[in-house]
Amino acid sequence: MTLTDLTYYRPESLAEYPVAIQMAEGEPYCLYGGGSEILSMARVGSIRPRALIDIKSIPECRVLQQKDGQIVLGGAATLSEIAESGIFPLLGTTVSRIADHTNQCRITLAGNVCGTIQYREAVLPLLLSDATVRTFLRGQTSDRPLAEAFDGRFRRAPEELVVQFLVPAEAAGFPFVHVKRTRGDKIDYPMATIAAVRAPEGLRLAFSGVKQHPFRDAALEKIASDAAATPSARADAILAQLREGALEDQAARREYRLFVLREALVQTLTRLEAEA
Amino acid sequence: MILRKGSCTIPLTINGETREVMARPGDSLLDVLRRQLGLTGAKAGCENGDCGACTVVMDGWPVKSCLVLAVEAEGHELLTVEGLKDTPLQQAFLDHHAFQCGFCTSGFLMASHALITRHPNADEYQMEHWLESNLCRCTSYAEIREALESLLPKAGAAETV
Repeated sequence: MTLTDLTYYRPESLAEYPVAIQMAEGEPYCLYGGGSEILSMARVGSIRPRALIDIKSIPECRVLQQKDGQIVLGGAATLSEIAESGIFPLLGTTVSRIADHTNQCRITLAGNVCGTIQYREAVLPLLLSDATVRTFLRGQTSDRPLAEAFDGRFRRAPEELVVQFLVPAEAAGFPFVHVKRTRGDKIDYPMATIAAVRAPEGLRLAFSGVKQHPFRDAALEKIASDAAATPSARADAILAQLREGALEDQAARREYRLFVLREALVQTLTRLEAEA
Repeated sequence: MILRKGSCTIPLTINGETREVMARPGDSLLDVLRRQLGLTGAKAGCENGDCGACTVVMDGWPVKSCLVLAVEAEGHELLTVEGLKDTPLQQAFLDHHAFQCGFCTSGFLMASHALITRHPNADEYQMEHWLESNLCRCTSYAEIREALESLLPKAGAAETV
């Protein structure tokens, strides 16, 4: 079958998590959420874990709630649960375009953000809302700004568990636009995905599919927020900044990707201003 | 903590019954359903999470059983196409000739069943969103849409784009 000589651990509390880690120590293990990426990679021999630590039964990792002015998103909440909860509309819209719906019922938030597939689109709304990530390592829970932990990839120790993402409730209510452009089919990796919000101080923009990894860039947001310029002029100025380092791959050549991105940018800026 | 290693006995709740299976932690739910329990309604299509032919319902959500480990299903409620007996959904598929070869049908039925159960007032957009997870190589999509629309009045009332 897919995985042989495998040991499966399912801790049912945060207290049991380090016990599972300790028991699995010495063997290559994976933290296991929805499993779609791990099982697919194991099937083709890209990874050969000897142990899986299934984190879905840890209650803190399944939370979806608003509390004390913050939206708390469990790392093991599925994309479908997030979308149907309506708790963070931009995030719900964004994750509804990752894979297909049935897979969204399995893929977890932390699984997408920390996964190996480079697009990690679920991180875009979290970056835009200045989210905090709560992790659990060696028996301790700690918080740090997501922007510090994520530089295109999520940086964590191998045994560090992403428990929750914390989003200021106010930020989750900002007017938003989400535009995703694929090569052909609706269900595909992005040629360009833009998530944007209109915050009190100006526009915020985050991208996936444009460069090697998803990103948010303050310099681009400054350009985007210049209301004196037309959306087209701002899109051109942003493109000038992105030309170097723009992705060229089997989905699209660089020039075509930038052409698609320009159209998506104009649409994004126009729609955000129309709402204003 | 649940710990499974080597070949072990796992209780699975399937179609309202508790069944015991012998499985290794790496065995997919699809394999266990088909080989050990004889529940062959879930089909092994791509076995890569793309086609949806192996879709079953777990705790009310559609899942692709090729991408679920049998050990993960312990403690959860499973529903396979064998558990759908005499439902209006099956009749609708018959009435609208919503299949040709039938290989994908159980997957479509399970995704549709989950949709109707969770969202009896689903609209056209929701219907398309949920069913885009399943492929039909005979291209019976129009008939499948009609079958489902007959049970989802709000979806049927919308204009098809």
